[in-house]
Amino acid sequence: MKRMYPYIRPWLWAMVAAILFKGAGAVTDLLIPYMMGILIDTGIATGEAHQIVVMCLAMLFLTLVTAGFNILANFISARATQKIGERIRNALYSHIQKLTIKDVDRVETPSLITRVTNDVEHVQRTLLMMTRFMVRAPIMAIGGVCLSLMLDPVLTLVIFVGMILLGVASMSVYKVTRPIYRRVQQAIDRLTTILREGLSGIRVIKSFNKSEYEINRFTSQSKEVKKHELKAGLFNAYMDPSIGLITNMTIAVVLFCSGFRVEAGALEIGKIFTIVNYINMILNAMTRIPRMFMMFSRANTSSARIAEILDIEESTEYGKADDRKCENTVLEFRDVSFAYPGSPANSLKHVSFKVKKGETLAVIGATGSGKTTLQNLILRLYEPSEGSIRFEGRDIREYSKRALNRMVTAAMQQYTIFGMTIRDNIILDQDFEEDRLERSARSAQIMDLIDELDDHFEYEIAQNGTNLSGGQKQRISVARTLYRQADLTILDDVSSALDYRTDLRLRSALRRNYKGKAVLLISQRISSVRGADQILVLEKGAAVGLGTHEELIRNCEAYRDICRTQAVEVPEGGECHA
Amino acid sequence: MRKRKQKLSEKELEVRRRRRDSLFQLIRYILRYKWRLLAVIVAVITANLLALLIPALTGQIVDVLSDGMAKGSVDFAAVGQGALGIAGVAVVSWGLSALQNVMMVKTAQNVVLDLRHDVFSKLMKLPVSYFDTNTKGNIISIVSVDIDNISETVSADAITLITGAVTVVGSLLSMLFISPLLSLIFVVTVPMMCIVAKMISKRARRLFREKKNCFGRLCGYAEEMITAQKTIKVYGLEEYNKSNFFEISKELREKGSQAEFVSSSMMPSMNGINNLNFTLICALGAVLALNGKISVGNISSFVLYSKKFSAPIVDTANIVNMLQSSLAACDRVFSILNADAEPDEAPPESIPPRVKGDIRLEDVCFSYVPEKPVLKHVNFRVKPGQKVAIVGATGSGKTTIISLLLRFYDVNSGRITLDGKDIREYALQDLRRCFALVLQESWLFEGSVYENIGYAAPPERSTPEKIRELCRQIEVDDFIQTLPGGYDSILHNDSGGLSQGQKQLLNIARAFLCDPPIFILDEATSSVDTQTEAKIQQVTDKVIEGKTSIIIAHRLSTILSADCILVMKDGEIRETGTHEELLKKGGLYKELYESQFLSGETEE
Repeated sequence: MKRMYPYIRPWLWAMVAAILFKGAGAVTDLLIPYMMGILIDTGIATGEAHQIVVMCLAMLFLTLVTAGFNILANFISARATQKIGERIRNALYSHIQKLTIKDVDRVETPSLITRVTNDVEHVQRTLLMMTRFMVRAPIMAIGGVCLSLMLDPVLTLVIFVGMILLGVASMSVYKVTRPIYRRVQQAIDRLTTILREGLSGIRVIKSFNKSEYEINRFTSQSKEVKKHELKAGLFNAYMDPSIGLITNMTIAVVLFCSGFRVEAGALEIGKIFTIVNYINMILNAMTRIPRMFMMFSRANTSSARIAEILDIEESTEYGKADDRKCENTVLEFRDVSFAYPGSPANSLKHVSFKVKKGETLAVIGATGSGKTTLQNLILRLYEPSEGSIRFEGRDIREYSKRALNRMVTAAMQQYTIFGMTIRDNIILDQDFEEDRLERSARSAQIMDLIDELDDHFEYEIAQNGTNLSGGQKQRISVARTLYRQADLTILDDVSSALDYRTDLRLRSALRRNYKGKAVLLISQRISSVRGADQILVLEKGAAVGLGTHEELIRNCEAYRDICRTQAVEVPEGGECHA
Repeated sequence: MRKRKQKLSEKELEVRRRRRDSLFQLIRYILRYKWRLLAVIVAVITANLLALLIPALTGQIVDVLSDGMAKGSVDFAAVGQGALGIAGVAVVSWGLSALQNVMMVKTAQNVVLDLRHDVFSKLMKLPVSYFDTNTKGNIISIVSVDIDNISETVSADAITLITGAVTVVGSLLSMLFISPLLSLIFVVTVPMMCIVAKMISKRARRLFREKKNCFGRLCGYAEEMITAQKTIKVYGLEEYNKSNFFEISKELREKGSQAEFVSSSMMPSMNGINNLNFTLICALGAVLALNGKISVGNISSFVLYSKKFSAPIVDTANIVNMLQSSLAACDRVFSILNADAEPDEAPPESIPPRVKGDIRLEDVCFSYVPEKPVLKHVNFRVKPGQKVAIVGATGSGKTTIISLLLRFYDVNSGRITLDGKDIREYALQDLRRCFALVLQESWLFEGSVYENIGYAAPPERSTPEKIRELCRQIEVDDFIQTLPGGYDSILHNDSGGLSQGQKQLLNIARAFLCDPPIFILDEATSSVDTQTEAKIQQVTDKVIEGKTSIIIAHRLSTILSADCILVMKDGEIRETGTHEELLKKGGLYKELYESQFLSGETEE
């Protein structure tokens, strides 16, 4: 929790004020039975009506003041803790934006989401509780004991015993049930996974007749959940009523002992009355205290989780260069090698090539040959282990993030279509220009679809584009990439969900409408790559061919292989040149 | 104006009727444990009635002590008796409460288990159309959140209501018995408590609901954006993304402040009224005591009884407010239980039929939505052992044909026969056993590679050795070996470690292992590169020898080796034949085929 202090600091004064008011409210609350005790002993016993009136007015005053203090305290703490929560949440989210893909994969997306939402909520709730129950409960308990001591130390001893018993009982509940609840949560998570899987794979399950199997899998896990929940539930079943038991026993013993005290002349009725009232107040307050520990430990876990993310350092170092040199060579790979972290083999081996302004370089190769890796390195999602990547004459590490984003964009294989209008999905954070929007939509071959829709560009796409087909989503991704008019546009296998004709039209439109921009086209189809200015053939990370279609089909065995499998005519030829 | 109002309440009435019906269904579930529930209710009532004795006993002791003070000597026998009485009541009360809790916990857990099992079983029997029209998130929420809600309501809430009623009524009666005059105070304060509790509870609930919606929007936004990490990084959308988030975050803060403040007012308010009560009792009590009408002991009892009021009133107010949402949860759970299962009239054969694979579609018409026909008078025949390829643009109806063959949906008109028999006359189990389906979206579950691949095949075929051999055959073995646990590695459906292509290969391996008479591949190999795809095709050809196969693909290379190609457009089969025949026809197929070779200079 200490980690959260920097976020609490601006509102520290508010928190302190809330705590003080809350404390005052608790003290005045305790004084009310005290007043009554005095009333009984001095008013009723002596028959002085005037004392009664004074005491009653005092009690009324205390009632109002107590309510006032408490409500004021609540108001201040509600607003302060929410503001603190907002601050933590925003800071965490901002930091997440700076994480690399590798970090995000390591922590895993669902965990990140939980941290920004639920964990922040826990911390916030605990801060709120710290100014409410965590102030009131101890003050009621301690204050009650102090006042009680003033009235009669002997009886207070009995109450003390009751408090200890209650404390022990509550702590044991906490200690015993905590690990059980953890297991319950794990079991429930597993149950939800099975449920999720069953829903997403319903067609597979039905087609393979595995419904019964899935039902059994689910039910046996349900039984596992029940087993743990039952354990916790049964333990609580016995422990919950013990609070009442201890309280009542304490009352019984106190009353019995009062007999001796009265006999000894040390006690008056009013005091007994007050003490009996305090027993309830003190022991009730005691039951709140374990809850405090629970909340605190939960908040500790949550703030540790939040801190864990905040501690991750931004590992991609960007440079400061913002300007463009407008050189002829847009992209250059100089002897680049790369292996994914933790992988023994290189995904790219000594790859070199140049892409000039206005040129299209196509990259072709089998799955795992390094095509996507190439793209990841250009986008600085990863860093090459050897060699350098240069952009318009400078090493790409010299550019600022903003400059890089302006210079390179990509339509990747894994992209997200957002739950917004088509227009917003294409424009994203760029300025809106109508003709630019139309040009990109037309080039991406999505204009027909847009014309057919009633809302045209304002058509709302569902989250993740579930109301669009695979091909339509892909074309929107392409339109979005084209709209940004970067110096280098990477298209990663954008034709996989398109038919041949559409793919053809897409490439024609690119050539026509985006002259002067360099394109890196990654594909598996010979038909898509054959028209490129240069083709890079990758095989297991190595560049085994670089040239035009005509050159490669004669000289590169790997390329010829691919052609053969795609029923492209292959003339008799020679060897491979890399 | 009036007509619209009428229509609204008609809809409301319908909702209420449905909720009432599902409530009755729930009660029937619970009544399975009726004896246990009866015992619980008896225990609850007894325990609480006994507890009501304690304030009275306390008051008595106080009076004895009071006399003792006046006389100078205390009647210890009476005090002792009273104290023992309190102790005795406390112990019995504890015992009954513990007993009641134990029974209630067990019952609630059983009800939850029953509901979970029944709901999931039903889900597995519902037709595919249900899953196409209901979101996954919604269904998960019903199974987890709603069932838990019902269990809470049935166990905790019901008990709280009974406890509360007994306590309040019992206390009031006890007080009336002691001093009717003093009880008059409650005529003012109890209604005050009820009104304040209701007001705050209602308002707090509304505010919390708004906060929860806002929180949901925040979660949804965070989920969408954090999942879209890559897209945001690549396009540099960080600032854009953050500013949207901050907006929702601010709204959450505002709503949260309001909700927290209002709900936190409950305790001070109730406490305030309690204290007011206390003050009034003390004031009036003192006056009466001065006149000898009541004793100090009576005042003590009164005070103790009055403290028992606020908790039940607050709890009841909260429960009543939650009632509508609990009923809604109940309704949602039973909507699944009451939904219609897949139509499966034919009983399964004791010995599953050996099917040759002769499929005929006769004048099949189908639409998902009445106004938009997807298949129009489709006729074709797949001969046993044939390899048929279906090609066509997206939306031409190819995937629908597969859904119909597997009876995920049924034809609107016309019929489909397998080996001469209408597929509706087969038991669903027997029919589906004849097919192995590999879909466009790969599916893995949390389990080892062995378990995932051996999922559907009979145990004798899914031994680890056989699985490894198959994987070697289709060259999937290499990448499995590179996984940290090899074949024992645990996979997940959202496995980040595997590429789309690799997941597909595992799905294909699973289908291969099954070895049924008819294979259906739906664009399965399109995310795998052509060279690997060619390898799989070679193996597939070997495996499907003598079997029937239907392939939906975009890639011409996979179609080239087909015995028969069906060219679809707009829900109709436009052309059929072999590759050569179709080229000769010079129609739709020729256009599709030729577009592969143009380098893009001539079009438009």
